[in-house]
Amino acid sequence: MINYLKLNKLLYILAFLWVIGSLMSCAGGRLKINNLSSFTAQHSIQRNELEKVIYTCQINGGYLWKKYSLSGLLLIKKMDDESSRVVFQNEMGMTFFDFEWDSLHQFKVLSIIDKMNHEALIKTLKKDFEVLLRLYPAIQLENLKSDGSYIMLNLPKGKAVYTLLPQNYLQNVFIVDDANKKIVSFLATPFQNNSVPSSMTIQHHKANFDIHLKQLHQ
Amino acid sequence: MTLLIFLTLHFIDIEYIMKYGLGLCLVVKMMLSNSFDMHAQNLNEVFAQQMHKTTSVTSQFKQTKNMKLLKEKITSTGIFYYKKDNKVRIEYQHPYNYLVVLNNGQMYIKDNFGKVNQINTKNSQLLKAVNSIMIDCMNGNILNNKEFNASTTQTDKQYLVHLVPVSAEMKKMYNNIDVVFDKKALHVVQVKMAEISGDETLMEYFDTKTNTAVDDKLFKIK
Repeated sequence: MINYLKLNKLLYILAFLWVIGSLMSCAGGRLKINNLSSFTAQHSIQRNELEKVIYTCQINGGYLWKKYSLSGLLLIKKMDDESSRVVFQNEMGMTFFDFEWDSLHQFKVLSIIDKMNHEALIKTLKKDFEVLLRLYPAIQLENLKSDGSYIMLNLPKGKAVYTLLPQNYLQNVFIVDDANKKIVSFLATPFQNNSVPSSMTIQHHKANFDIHLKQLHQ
Repeated sequence: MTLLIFLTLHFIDIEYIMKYGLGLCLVVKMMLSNSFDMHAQNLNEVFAQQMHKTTSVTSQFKQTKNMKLLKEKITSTGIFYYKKDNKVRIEYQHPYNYLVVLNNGQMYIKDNFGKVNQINTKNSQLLKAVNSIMIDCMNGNILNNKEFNASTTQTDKQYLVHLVPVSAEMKKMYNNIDVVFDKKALHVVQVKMAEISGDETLMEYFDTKTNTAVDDKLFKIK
């Protein structure tokens, strides 16, 4: 009986340590940025100007012992009417979702499969693409701050921080909370300010899922 | 929110596999049914006879996804293999690598990033249903599939099978699916899947060979 109780206690301790370990592994840490000064014209953020980009896309995640993985093609296209579309479909052509931002950057879900049609997921994906493609209303772009290494702008919730490289290139991007704790990390290859990276991993530290993107050249 | 996103994506995965499985069944059916009798009452018999004769199929394919509203076409190419019994390999080779192997209830998927997923289709009710449809594809009963209403037409050179979804699940995805057979060779040459959104996926098959030697290693689930 005593041995059983000890074993039971040990299992609880191991489970507790495992949960703590899992939580720590999900944490994104804090982004070390100085007090950023006011925006100067030489450090700006430009919207993606590419007419079309196709990525191969993989989404991985898990909860406790269960894991999942989805893959397909992600099409980003700028339309003639200045709206932007992001479409995710599987390799055999079935569309998972079709998102639109009109010329005024108003977001709309044009189609989504039932099983993805959840507000929390749509909000997360919307925010990811808005940060990636810089689909910000003009008023947000007027409130940029920079120290020459990072450029930051306020989102409705949290902040987006872009890593600046010389010659108007960008690299990693982060969404952080008010205490600069990373919520989402976009780990990208260097890309021009008016473009998108050729490959990238988007890590959601709280939601514990990640998106891998690799540009496809047809 | 974390839990919600997990749950959402977890069930997407099952849904994805299920729908994907149904899609595969169609492809298998199309590739195997290299003879077609326009009289519905004889169709199952002809199909079953043909299944008995066919031990393997190999074919090149070209897939074109036509996104009408986006005015965009995405094209990919690859090789399709079937070997009796219950073995299928669909290998996308350009412009991305994507591999699906079906072997006796096991599904193996390797995506463009090299990530492998292996699924036992017997471990869930949904996948069991998919598996039973796959078996129907193999034994010639797929034409009795209650998911579609079938009608047929023909030209000098081709047979056309027009499939309209019946079940609510399939109706959410497709308006119709058209399968075109070459009359002389009795091979499937084209499959066009028209989605509810207006988009279309066209599969074109060429260089089809039947009853040639196909290595079992191609269907190995690692």
